[in-house]
Amino acid sequence: MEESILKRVAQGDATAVQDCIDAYGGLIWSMARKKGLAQQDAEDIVQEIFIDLWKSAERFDPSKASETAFIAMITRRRLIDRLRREQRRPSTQVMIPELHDVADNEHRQLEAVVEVSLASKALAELKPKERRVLLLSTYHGMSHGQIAEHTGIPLGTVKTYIRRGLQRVKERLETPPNATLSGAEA
Amino acid sequence: MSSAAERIMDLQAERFTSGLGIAARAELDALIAEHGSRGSEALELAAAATDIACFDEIEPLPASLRAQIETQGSAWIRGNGTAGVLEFRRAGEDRSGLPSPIANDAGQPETSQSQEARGPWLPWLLAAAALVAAVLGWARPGVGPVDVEPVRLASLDEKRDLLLAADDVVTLEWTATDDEAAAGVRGDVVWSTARQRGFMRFQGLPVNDPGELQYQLWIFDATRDDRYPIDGGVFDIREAELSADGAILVPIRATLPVREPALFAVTVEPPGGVMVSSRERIVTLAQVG
Repeated sequence: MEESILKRVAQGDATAVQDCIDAYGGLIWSMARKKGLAQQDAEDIVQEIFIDLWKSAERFDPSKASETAFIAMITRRRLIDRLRREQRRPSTQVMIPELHDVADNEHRQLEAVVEVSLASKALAELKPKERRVLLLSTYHGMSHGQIAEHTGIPLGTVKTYIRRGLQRVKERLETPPNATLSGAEA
Repeated sequence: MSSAAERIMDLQAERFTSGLGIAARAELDALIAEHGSRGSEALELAAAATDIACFDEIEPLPASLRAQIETQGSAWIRGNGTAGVLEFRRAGEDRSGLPSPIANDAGQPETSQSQEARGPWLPWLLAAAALVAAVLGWARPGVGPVDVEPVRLASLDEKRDLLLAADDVVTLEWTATDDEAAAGVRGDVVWSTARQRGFMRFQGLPVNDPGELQYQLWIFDATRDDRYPIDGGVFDIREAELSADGAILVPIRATLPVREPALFAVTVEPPGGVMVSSRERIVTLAQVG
């Protein structure tokens, strides 16, 4: 099995830095931009995220998550922290991807990531309103209050939709079909 | 599911989507201490997977940013993961280890100074410090990681001066409106579309209480619908940040690319700003052309 990039980073392999940026730089950058951060803020925080990655590389455990998902978790921690501190409001131009784009596009760059595939299936099982609320939260980084304001859905219902949606995704991730698991990248 | 387990689940869901405040964090900690928590990592993983499941297109890293990260990563590797070369922290700033999964509970926004401090100067600082580290490492073979003294960070004034050298920079004088906060307001706005960066300078704009109201910049872009100007950032006028002559410099933080700026407008808004301004209180305007 090919050694993960993060493990190589942890071992001090200089080429792994380049590989890590090649493999995940675009994803991290895109995640920051999707949260509505200004160009300069996004540039600052992406640098912070990579420093976090170098520091936490040795903690990556491929038995718990794919490398992509691990990096996405690290990225989200920083982004949530930043958005919360700045109480930043996302752009008014909020576009939620259509579900068929989420679930059916085989050409998507992240399709091979097992968690992405399973999360897409879980999203497809949600009611449209629940899915929209969950994506406003996870994808666009809107706070629960902002989602309530944006959609007109009561705050309590927003929280319920998000909790229920995450729970559904979590259940999917915990019981992956064997065929999919075998294709997990790490 | 017990009510405690449900409550833990609620708080965890909030933790991994929008973060928790001080009170909620304390409540979660207390509940976990008493009842335990299962599946926390799995829930965070679910949030991350849901986030990236929606990406149908991944933007490449900007080339300049990529170069900066490469420099930092190389410095990290050279320092064997423990060097101080990445720790260009301000005095007293603790940035050790991973960020807590819980959002910054202090809820204190960074000052514009500290936010800007990691701006366009960062690559130069990192490159310079990496060079210092490399030279010292060469001069002292066998010596472990080199600790580098914190570097002086460029001020907003210096960054504004640097921006003024841009080929496409525009400098516009503010025009005060009839709003009560606008009386005696002077200053200008400097903007470079090529660099997507700018600064506002104010003199006479009243100090605000961020708990009651905040100022917000709007940038009207000739290529976009006038009804939806670009949010240029929420900001405060703090007494402590005013210069001796009562002036303050505020960086512009546009949330969308500004293609053809036509008008800059500052409004007074509720704390946190708004997504769409009612435009009831417009304080200053600066028109292009």
